[in-house]
Amino acid sequence: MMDDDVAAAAEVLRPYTLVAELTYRCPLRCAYCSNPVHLDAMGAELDTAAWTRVFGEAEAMGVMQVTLTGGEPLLRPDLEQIVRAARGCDLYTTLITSGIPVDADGLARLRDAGLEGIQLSFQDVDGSAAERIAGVNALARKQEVAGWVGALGLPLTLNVVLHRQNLPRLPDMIALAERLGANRLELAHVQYLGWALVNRSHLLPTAAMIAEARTTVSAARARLAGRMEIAAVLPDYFSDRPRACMEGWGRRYLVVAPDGRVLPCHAAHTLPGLTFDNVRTRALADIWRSSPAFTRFRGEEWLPQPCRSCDHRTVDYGGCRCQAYQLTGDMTLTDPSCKLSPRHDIVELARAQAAKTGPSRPDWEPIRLRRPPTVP
Amino acid sequence: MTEIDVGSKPRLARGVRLRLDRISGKLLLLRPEQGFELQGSASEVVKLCTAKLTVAEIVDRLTETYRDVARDLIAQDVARLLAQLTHRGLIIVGDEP
Repeated sequence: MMDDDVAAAAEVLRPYTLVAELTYRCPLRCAYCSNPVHLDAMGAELDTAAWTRVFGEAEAMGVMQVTLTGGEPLLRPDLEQIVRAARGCDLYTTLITSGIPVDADGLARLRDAGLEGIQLSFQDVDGSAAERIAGVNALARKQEVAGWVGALGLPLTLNVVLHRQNLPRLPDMIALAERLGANRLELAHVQYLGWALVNRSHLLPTAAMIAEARTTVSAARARLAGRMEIAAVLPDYFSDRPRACMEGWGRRYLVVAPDGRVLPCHAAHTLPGLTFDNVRTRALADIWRSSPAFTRFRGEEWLPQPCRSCDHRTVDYGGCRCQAYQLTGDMTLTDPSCKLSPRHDIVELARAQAAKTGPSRPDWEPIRLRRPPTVP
Repeated sequence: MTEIDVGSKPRLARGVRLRLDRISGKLLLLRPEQGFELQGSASEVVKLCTAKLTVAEIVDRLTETYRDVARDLIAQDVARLLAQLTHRGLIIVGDEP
């Protein structure tokens, strides 16, 4: 009995997924980018050998999946070697990409190196609307890349970040994913952090738009079952309950930033007073198990009220720390998207403003990075 | 989606990989960003989904492993499991969608 309990506790502390952010550099400048708003303070990128070591350490800890992401991972000249290293550790290896800096041969080389799946981001099905979000017109290019992925026999995931400006075209997005032969469509609503929070008044949809999106998604799911999976994350601003951010702090995910810092989530560097250990100087397993950043919000000890006495604490873990911080200035509070949060008024106010602003604005110009991050 | 019948030869869908979890000792079906732990005899069934065996032949193999279980019961379990896995797009028969 004792042994079982110990085994169960150890199981909870085991990471399954390594998010490898290979670079912050990107040819796009999306209005909801999750890159740090201040990129200047970043250190040099990890080299091939360092990533290879990280993959080995992660696999030994029980990690099964690695997602190679960024920024734009295709900007790494050593991506092929990185893929080979990840697959060499028997990790399920997926690339998350804008699809911009690659040709069909390059993609084939990545597949031959062991790449197992590609997630391709689409900003919109309307070229000029996509350009307004990303700062670059890449729609035709992305469709071409999707064709290459299919021809190589790799599973294709289409990812579309949803917001008020593109939600009216949700049925067209589903149709595009079908036409491109996607195995999976991820409809992930903007998380209102970082650049997205700056642009929130133009990105947050209305409750009516969300209700319509729900109906569209469930009809498509029923129709496409077994052919194309649809994962949909609607905004927590309308859900009354917070989302289980990263499936709980330090429970399932490890994020290694381009400079080697290890984070419980890709936005955790926005939280004040947290310092992150670096794979250059400390073993990954040690960082995961006992670094202050990982233990800070792990488990239930830290939980504030009303979370501490709430039955949902094992479902949502108190919600998103970054959202709590960015909306209230206090990262230890209940996520304000929860209707039980004493600061839920912040979210209610944002919803009311969205309802007043009305649907989409074709003339809207987002605030974004004025220049792409420089190459180190 | 092609329906599975006893003559179908199920196989892992594109991008789905069967992999041992060395920590739990269980088999997982992996695909981009998702993992599905196979419970109990499910792993025995999935290991036989190689596009070479029909569902009827898979059931035959399993009756050899589980000698004290009636064939009908095994056939029902296999059909139910394969229906779930095809519904999730993890196992397919016929052409890729």
